[in-house]
Amino acid sequence: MSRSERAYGALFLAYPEEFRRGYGPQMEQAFGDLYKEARERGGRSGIARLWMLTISDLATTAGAQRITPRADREEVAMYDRRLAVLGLVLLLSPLYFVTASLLKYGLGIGLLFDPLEAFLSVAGRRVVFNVVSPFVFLGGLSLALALNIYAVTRWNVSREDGTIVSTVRIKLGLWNIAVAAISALLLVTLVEYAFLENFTHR
Amino acid sequence: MKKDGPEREREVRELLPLTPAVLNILLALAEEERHGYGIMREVEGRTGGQTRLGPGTLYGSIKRMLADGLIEESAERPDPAMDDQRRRYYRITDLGRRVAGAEAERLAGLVETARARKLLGGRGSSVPEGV
Repeated sequence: MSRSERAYGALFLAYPEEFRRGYGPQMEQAFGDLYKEARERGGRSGIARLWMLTISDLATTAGAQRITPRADREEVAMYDRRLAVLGLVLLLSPLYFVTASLLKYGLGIGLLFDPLEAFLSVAGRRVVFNVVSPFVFLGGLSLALALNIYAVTRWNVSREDGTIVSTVRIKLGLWNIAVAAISALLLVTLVEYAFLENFTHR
Repeated sequence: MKKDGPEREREVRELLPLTPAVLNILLALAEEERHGYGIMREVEGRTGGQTRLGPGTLYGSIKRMLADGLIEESAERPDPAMDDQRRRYYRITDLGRRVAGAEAERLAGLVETARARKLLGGRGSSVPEGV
């Protein structure tokens, strides 16, 4: 093994371990091939040119591999699906409450509301419900909305020639869009309900 | 599960635009399966030495392309007797072909615009042919 190949092997430590494990032997072999070619074709000046290419390549790509270890698309899709499931769990209780209330007071169907009312009729439970429910309902819905908007819109802020550039990429994840839309709808309904209950003259 | 037309189109669009390195690797593999050094040689030869991929750029791109499904590792070795066992060969996937085609069309559109605005195409143009 030549000195250049040994030096490349040492500089190779600049890459993150996971990348070295996956591609290290191949990259070292590719460098070895490039080195032999450079030596045969251009002698010392060929080797010098190879080192110039290698150092600039290493400086850019080792940094990039460390700073932005890009998750593959399957990982991102799985992560987005998890956000949709979490959002769905968070909106279940407000969805039940709003649906039960609308059925009871809009259509006179107590199928969902009556069991809730019976449960809350036990002393002390209503007080706890009145204190906890705004946090669970409004907080849960806000969180579900924020997480799924994050899954649909990917923000990227970078600096180019002294200017801060922001880009937004929209990803049409149907489950995330559905959860965000239902959360927004329920949030508006609950806020409107709270406003009407507390701030209108009777 | 087989994807339908619009979904396939969306899948391609999400991967555009490609970096020059990724497009060059796809072009190199469009012809035949190659190992890393083979890709470097093809790109350098095809571009007349104007584009040289360093090992970091090449394998950084390969890692991303494998994750995106543009290329895959090949189990076959074109000439095992003549080859180092450590080498890995790569081949372009169907998605890779479609993405390379879509990127080429996108670039052709840009070239058409440049031509229409008289930025290239005429004799004496400052833009070298084949770029």
